[in-house]
Amino acid sequence: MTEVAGALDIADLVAQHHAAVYRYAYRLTGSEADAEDLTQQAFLIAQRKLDQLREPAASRSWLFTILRRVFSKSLRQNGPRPAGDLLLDLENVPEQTPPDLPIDPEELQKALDELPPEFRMVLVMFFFEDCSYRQMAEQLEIPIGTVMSRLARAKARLKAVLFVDDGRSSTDLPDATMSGKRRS
Amino acid sequence: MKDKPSPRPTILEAVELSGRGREEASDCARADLAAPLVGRPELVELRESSRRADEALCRAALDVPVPEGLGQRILARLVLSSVDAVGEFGPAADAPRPARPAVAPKNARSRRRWIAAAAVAGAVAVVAVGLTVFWQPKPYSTAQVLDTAVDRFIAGQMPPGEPLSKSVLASHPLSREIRRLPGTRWRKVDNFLGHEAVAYEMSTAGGARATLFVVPCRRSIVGLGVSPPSRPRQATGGKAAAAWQSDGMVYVLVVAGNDRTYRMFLDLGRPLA
Repeated sequence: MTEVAGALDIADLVAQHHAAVYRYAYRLTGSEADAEDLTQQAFLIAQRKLDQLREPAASRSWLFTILRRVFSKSLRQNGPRPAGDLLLDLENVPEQTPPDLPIDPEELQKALDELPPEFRMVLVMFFFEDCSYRQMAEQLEIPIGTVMSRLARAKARLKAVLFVDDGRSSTDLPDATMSGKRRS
Repeated sequence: MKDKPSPRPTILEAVELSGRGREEASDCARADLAAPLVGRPELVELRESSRRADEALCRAALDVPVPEGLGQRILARLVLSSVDAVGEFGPAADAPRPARPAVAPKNARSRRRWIAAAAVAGAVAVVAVGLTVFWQPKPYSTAQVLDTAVDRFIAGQMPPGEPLSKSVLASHPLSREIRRLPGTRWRKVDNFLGHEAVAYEMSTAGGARATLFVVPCRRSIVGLGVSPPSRPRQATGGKAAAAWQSDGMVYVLVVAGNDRTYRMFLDLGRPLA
């Protein structure tokens, strides 16, 4: 990154981080078009608020934060939705994960799309950001216990969908309330 | 696991907690969540299994193809946004700028980028080294616009291109006065008078071919109307071309043919210049 005594250039941020930001956006939205739109919006905001970024090393996490907020705002603008929940059929959670089982990224996205947005968000944070539960709780402004609970349940749900031995698309999906799911 | 003294969701949370790092588990406020694992060595394998699954999920999650040209499209949008914020484009060295307290550019190179970014009215071609190609406030003429488009027109068979997509149509919209023909494809055109343009390749059922160049440009170009002229303004070498400007875009239609071919591509239900 081009840095001169703390000076930052939006073009450098785009060059260095647009791919990661897009991937993050895609996992949140499940749609290429929505992900690109979300990415554009994030960088537009970043351009306006570039003076707020004090540490160049934190650029990517800063951009991810902007992206999450834009995504959350878009969810709110889509209108009221029922509170998300994720009830697990615990008998279907595999006891052991098959070793070296490759996961189809598209199957993963289908499973993510089935999650309520608040569960999807903590999971995507887990995938992309190397932060502690406390940092996640602070960023999302929810209790740390809620972060851990959502993360554990969301991952268990993914494993139940992706790792079942009788096929990828198990009909015994855990009962879940799908809310706020967006598709292009 | 047959003995489950704790509710399963709590165990899952405990496994999740214990896998994330000692600093989390040592937090006395969260110790209650780690409690189910105490004295339960048989759950260690579950934790290891969970960690393997997490690694597999993370690998898959990061495996997302990035659309080609995304970085350039983002930069193009940022530049347009900068021009809108500054107003009439032009060298912004003396123009008031939004406050930039903490990270103001400190060297001449960075300052030139910001001045140039404020002066550019279109898309940017260079990404990695920073913005190095800017729209300079030169008085481009209609003739220059037409000549450039005719030069970039690919004669013969329809050149390869991409199917239409929402993002391209959003950044480089088709002109309302142009017919929507099936099979229309698009391709990127670098450095069209310093801008990143898009060329929409079209053909009629009878085989007539045309290219509509769409160039983001907010500067008003003398001689261009707001809708297509009824006849091409330039005809040479078996090609005919006309240009117009509206909604921040310069449109140039180049056809392989003559006046009659040119009119085949216009939506004649709309008024023409």
